[in-house]
Amino acid sequence: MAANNNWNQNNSWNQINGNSGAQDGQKWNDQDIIGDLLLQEKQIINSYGQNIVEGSSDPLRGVFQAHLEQTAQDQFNVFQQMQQRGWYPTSPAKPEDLQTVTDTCTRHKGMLVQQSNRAASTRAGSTARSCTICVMT
Amino acid sequence: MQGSHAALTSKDLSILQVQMDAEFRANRKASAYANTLSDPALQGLASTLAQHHKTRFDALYSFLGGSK
Repeated sequence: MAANNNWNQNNSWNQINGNSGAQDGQKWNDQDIIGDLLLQEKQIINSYGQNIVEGSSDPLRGVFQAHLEQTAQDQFNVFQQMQQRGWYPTSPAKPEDLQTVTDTCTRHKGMLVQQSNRAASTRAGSTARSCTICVMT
Repeated sequence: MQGSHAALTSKDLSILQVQMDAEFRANRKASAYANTLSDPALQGLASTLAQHHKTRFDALYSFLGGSK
């Protein structure tokens, strides 16, 4: 993922237009160009995400949310094309890392269950007291 | 999106402009790339991206028009 941050939109745009924006003076190949498109889709997704929370009208937020979802699908399509060509290698998570994360999250899940049970118990007690008051009244 | 919306706030107008500008530039860039790529499948992908950016730009433009 981090490698994609090396693509610079200004440089790529200048190269496509024959300007001297290239740092290494080389014409970009298909991998470079598709990588730049992937970066562009990511940037637009981020922009929609930021602006959804800034929008103050429900219709505008709705439009942005729909566009965010569409752009995320486009980004994934670009990613898949890169991965199929070996331009975006991924590796499976290490079993020991998976176990560490699972252990941590299982502990957190237990804490959430306890918290939920305590809240339910508090609500039940409150309801019971209310009923008692009602009966007494 | 057609029809009128409640008046946009200045902040809404600002972020709408940001997104329209981003979609416009993304369309132009993807269109240029489509003519540069050598792999036909990737040319098609870039063209599709360009079209989608145009569609989203048009939707935002319509939203802007419906907010007058």
